[in-house]
Amino acid sequence: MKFQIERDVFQEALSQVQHVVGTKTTLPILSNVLIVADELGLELSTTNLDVAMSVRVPANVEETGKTTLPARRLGMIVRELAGTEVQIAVDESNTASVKSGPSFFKILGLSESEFPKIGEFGDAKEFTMDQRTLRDALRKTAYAISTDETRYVLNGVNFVLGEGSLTLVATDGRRLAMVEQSLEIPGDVETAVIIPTKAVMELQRLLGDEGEIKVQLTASQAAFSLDNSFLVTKLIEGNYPNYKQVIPDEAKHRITLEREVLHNAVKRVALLVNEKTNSIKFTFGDNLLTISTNSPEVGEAKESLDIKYDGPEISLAFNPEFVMAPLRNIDQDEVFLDLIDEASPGVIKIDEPFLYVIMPMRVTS
Amino acid sequence: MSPRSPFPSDVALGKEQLAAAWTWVSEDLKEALGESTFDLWFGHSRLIKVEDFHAVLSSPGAMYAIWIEENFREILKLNLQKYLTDLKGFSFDLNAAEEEADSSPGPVMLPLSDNAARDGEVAEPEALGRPKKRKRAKRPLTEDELIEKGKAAGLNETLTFETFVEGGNSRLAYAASHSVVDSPGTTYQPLFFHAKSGLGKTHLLHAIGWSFLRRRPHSKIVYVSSESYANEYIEAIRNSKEVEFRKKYRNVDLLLLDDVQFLGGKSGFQREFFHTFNSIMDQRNQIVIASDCLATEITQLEERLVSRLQWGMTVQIHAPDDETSQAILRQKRDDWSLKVNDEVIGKIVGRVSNNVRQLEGALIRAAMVTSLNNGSIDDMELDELLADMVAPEASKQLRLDDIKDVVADHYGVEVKDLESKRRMAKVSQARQVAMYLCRELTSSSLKEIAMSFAKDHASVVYAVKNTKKKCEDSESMKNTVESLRRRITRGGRGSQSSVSQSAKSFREEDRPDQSGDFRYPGL
Repeated sequence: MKFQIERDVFQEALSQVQHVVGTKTTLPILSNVLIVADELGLELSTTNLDVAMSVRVPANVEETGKTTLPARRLGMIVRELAGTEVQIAVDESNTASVKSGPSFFKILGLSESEFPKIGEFGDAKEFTMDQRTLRDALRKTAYAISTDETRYVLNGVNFVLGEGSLTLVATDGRRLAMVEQSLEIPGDVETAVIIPTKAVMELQRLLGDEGEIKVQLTASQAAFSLDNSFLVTKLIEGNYPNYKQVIPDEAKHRITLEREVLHNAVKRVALLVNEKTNSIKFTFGDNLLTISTNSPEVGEAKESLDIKYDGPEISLAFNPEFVMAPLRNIDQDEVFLDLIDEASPGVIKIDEPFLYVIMPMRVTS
Repeated sequence: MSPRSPFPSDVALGKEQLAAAWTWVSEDLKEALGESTFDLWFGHSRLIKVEDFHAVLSSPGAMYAIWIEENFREILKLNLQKYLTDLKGFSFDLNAAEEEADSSPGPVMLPLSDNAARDGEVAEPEALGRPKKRKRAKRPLTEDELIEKGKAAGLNETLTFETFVEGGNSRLAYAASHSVVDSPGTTYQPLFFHAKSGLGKTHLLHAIGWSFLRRRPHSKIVYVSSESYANEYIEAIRNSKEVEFRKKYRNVDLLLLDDVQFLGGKSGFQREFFHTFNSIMDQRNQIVIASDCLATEITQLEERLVSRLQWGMTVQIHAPDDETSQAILRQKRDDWSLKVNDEVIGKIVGRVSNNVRQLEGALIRAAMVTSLNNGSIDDMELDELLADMVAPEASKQLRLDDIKDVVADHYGVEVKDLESKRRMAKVSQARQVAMYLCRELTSSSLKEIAMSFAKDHASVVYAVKNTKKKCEDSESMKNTVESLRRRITRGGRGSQSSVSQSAKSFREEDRPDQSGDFRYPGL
């Protein structure tokens, strides 16, 4: 096998697939990237047995073939190369000669026959949607995924399909983020799956502003096909707990806030947050929101925001990071905060089908 | 209403008591959290069981349970403890809530609960339409049922605390075992035994199991070796019964896991075990683990598992001294009604290494000969009889650390120097000799040896080659290495060549496959 490729193109493609390659792999083949050279160019694939992805790039292929090469090492070499073109020739023993400008490398690969095959998606449920829509929905939810491995069903984003919509949910037991996207889906696609964190991260990297994405779901796997790339992941087994249970029915008070102003205020106050309690206080008074923190060892911080509010005074304590996370990941200028009382969950909404439930922390006085 | 007096939490509470306790807890929680918050999160929960310092609450859904645990764990526990003396923790039973909600028969959780229901004295009101699954109405098990249950859990009937001979070598392990039975899921969590083979790890695991079962006849206990655990997991994956598998292992009151070292290098099982481990810990249930080496010494064990195994209490069981060995053999003799006198037992202990399994084997052989010889056996006969019981066992038993100890001692350096990057002539010579002997005397792979010295495998190859050459070149080097070899194999009795031979052939064939034991389905 022999091909020529632009260094930048090659590097970009390698870096896209490299994230899947773990640093500690049990099987040597999993550290390698599968390179398939055909008339159309190159296809680069990696897998960690949970997630597999491949990317297609144009290349000038002189001789078709398949091989696998150590992904990280190849990535590092290509990144450091001085030339603009890279020439790679691989012999029968899977030894690759890499030439670029004045540089020459020889790296040892493994036979492509050892590389795990990606399963078939014969009778999968299938639908397509805009890449941009999915990317935004993932961005608005992914940060709320639980990292607690003992709650493995929460270690991913729940995709619920049915009744003309796709609902994405993520929660860690202290907050919950949800996006409901109306979507034209074929009638038979009514299902719920949990896409693991790793796949969500990779997917976010692949998704762009333009174009469509095809999603295929089977009982145990999901596949996402984009123009030049493809991602397959195992699903998290088990049932996602009924998230509707923790979404408050209706709010007593709605406060409208400017997203950026609120974000910056919280960010500043959080600078002096008490590391032990890790909470800052929101006091909603007469047309005034005061965000404050006070820790005996550090000092205190206070910010005041003008708001429209004429209800009774309410004080709630929140983890500042939990307040900022959704604000960072939505684009709307205006957000609504729905409250019931001091102990009930607050809900952040925007004028799109998104909501974020956040539990107030109990401040022990 | 009568004044609120707390209930004990170590015995199973009756229905009225549970209801009363929950009413009081509810009132206090309402006060602390406010009515609306209480209604939202706890309104549908009930206290359904209190036993063994642990409370079980029903919950209308997994999401409620998760959010309560994340957000109200402390305050709920605090308030439960007010009315349930010495309560250690709580958990949610989601099935119980389903039962109440849709009144369809839920899955049977405890192996004995249907049994208990069948014999339950109180007829449940039929009108409610609930299945007759009352965990509360439990009657004591008969001795036969208890033993049946123990056997079903994988326990060996003969291995109990009564048959365990405690000596200075195992005192700590014995005491720790008892305190695990007394207060499971608390202090020694997990309890980790490590010892060479034949010193009583497995015996203690079984003994803990029996004693635990006698104390809590309705608890769920599983004894399993990590190899069977792995095999079962493969079976479960093959038959798509992973949920069942998880239910079996994640919902136990006591998990006894033997030979955990076999999980080394098997990342799939390690991940599954990691979750099993966490889930049992979360429910404040007890795990007891036995291994033939320290958790840190298990090759290719994930960092997060190592740290978890080290979490609780780690106890080493040493080889018994001669007195303990004799006491063990005397008890065995009495148990098995063998005709061997104390003198012969003394001689056996003097000849066979201090490995209980071997001692027992030697005892049985001696008993056979003495019964043929009218109760006597002379030294010659005994030597002959036991000749094969020393060397090969010693060679298989060798651990890298044993070799390091002897070599470090000989060169007057510390074992940690051998594992360090220090390049002083004395240290590096000692390290090379140690690596050479590790390679020669054990079945460890180059990689394992390299890892134990914090070097790469090329250094081991070099060390082996270099030491071999030095031995060929220098008579004194050769003598040093030979004397070390003898010391390591405990005298060796002129069988050094056969030792290294057998170690080598063992290396080729018997080594378990260290890489990817199973492939994930699908991809």
